[in-house]
Amino acid sequence: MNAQPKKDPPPAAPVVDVKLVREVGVGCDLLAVAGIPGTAKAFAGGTDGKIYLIDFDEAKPNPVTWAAHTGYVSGLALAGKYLVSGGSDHQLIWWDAETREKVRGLETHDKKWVRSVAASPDGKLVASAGDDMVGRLWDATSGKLIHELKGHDKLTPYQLASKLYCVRFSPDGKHLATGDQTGTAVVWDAAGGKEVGRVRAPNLYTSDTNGHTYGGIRALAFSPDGTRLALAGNIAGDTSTITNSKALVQAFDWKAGKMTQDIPVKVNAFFEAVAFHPKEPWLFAATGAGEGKKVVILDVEKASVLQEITSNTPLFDVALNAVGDTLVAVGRKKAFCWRLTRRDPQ
Amino acid sequence: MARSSQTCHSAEHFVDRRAFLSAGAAFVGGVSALNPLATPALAKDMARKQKRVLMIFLNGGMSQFESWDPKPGTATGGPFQSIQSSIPGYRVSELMPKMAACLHKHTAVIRSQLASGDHNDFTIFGGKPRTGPVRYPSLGPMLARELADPKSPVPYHVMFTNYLGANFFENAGFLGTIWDPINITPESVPAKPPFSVAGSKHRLAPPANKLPDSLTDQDHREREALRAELAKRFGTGRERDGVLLSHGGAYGRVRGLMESAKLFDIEQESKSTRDKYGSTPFGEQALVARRLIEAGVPYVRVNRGWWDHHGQNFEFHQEMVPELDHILSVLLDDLKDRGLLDDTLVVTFSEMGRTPGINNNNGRDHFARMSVTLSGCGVKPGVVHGSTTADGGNIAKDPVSLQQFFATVMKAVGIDHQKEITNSDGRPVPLTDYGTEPVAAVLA
Repeated sequence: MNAQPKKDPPPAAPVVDVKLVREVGVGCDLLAVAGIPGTAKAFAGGTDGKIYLIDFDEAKPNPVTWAAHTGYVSGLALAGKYLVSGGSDHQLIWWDAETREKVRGLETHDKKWVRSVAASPDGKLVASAGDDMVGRLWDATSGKLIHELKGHDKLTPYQLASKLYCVRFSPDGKHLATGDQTGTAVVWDAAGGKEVGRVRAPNLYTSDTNGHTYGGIRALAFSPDGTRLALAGNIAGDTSTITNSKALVQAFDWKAGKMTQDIPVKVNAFFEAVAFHPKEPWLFAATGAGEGKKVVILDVEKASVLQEITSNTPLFDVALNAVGDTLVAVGRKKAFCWRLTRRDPQ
Repeated sequence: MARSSQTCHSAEHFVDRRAFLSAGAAFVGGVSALNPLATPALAKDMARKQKRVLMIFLNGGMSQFESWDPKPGTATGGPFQSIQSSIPGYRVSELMPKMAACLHKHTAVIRSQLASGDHNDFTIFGGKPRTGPVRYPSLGPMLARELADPKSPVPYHVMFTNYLGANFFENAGFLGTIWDPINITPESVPAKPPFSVAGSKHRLAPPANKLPDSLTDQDHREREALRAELAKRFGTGRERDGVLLSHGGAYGRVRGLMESAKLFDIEQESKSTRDKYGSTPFGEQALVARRLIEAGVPYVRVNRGWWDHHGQNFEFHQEMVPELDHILSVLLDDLKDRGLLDDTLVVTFSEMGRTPGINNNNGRDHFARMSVTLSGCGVKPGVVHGSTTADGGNIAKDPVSLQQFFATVMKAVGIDHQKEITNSDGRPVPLTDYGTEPVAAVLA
């Protein structure tokens, strides 16, 4: 008997109603975003080296901008009264979020690209990840270096320079995780700076049909209860053109070091940013480089796609507010703000 | 038609070559006597006389923005910073710190090189047509032919590929297949973890450097004697037939290759030297290339691919440019330390350049403008020739055609770039188009 071809599962019923609040055009790509709690405002970091302050409540937003870096602004985090930005110019810069004045700037990460910046939930700590393959934990107020988080290999198995793409805190602030090019994520104790967990995503680093040997954990997020770690990127097909590939999330019980969900999504793109809903097991995953141009809402428990929010442009970062009803996304020359209303379960 | 006595490549010289090989093998059993690296005096003699070219070919097209012609702070510049090089006023990508520090010593940069914008063998053929009755040779066979010492036991032309490159091979065209490269193609890299460079056995030596088990050395020599006898009368009156000459020289090439086997063995090098080059396939191939150059192989091409980054351009370049930076700087130092750089021209040449525009895949597409470098023999170091516009969208000053580039390479190693060679129909054809001028500014 011939095997029946596999059919795609029927689309799930939407879990949220989505309303576009605003779509804002800018003159460059926006790579990082940090929402301002309790407002419809967000800071965004651009490939033009500027930071953009966007008020999505304005009918015709006219972002306030200032020159911040001499390269891409690739990481942003709000820590109490400070906005901290990291860039491809190796700089980590503290700004007064209110006045936008520069508080301090540090050339760090061994003069390598500062890829990602995160703030602890209480705003007391700032973490940065850079291509020297070291995570760094900083006192948010003083800017003092507290811990260097060393545990990622500096070279890939092919003896070429690796990259440390992302860092995020757990919701309770006790842990933080860093993710690298080879698909390795390390979980650290935020208080002591010690490694407390390590997982390896089996399909986020591979070799494509043209012999390219790369990939990487482009984004990560802890689940609301902190037990799961979602790692996101792409299964390499032909990564030089990002065709015949799939965006991919793999979730782990990080304490057990065990993968619990494998969620490939049929879209030729990288997942470049992920954010968990604060109350539900929903992961908002943004498709960046490639053909995606949307936010995919995944049910991580069920390893399924729940819903998609179309942006019509590649997206490079997303942020959900504390109650999960406002989603901000930034990408290729655009920023978006959507209001989300939870649908009652059928 | 101009012909130098050293590079006339007459049939007689090929006979000499066979006789030399045969005699060498008969008297001393081959290997050690035909390994010039084992004979320092011979190696030094070669170092003094013979010019060589080591080509690093960047398959797929490296981005000039992420290497020799950065445009930081512009909309097209990408994420990387520029750093000051050792040439006053000239900055390179931060991904090339090692070459930045030593550029003034040996290297000239051409930032205004014109190229093909497509994968069609155009670039290495200098813009010559790839179809039609006359099959023009690519750059490598021309250089090999002009630089080869017919009495040398080592191969004339060796090419390493790296992952990819089959579409970008050299071809001798009407010069005859004797000038085609001995291609050394690695096994593919492992597609799944665990990744292990050491275990991937990227090939460093040609598969034909040993006889099959079913054939003894005596059998091999007897077969050639029979073939030569049968071919003798057939070849009368066909002395200029490139195909026939190539066929007749094949035995000599194979014997030379077998007896040069140690040249391809990096275990012959000290651990410290191997460590300097590193354990990537590119690094190990570059080390073998240096050994071949030292032994007198006139033209060696190492391909590093695959640079065709229509997607994820910056991620790939961040990985590959520092490797190129490291290996090129180590190679130049090593050649210099061994007294070889004055007679060896090291070229970095790209299949094409990359566009200023950054597409939705965070990639750069094909571009018919690029940067190239020349180091060592015949080069005026510390020169940066030509420039591009502020966004890198076009050549601003001193464009260099492919034919000019070929002429420049030839001039650097003492070849008359206007020398006429004869195609299979007996028609004279210049090495580079009539009237082509080399780029004098980069020549010593």
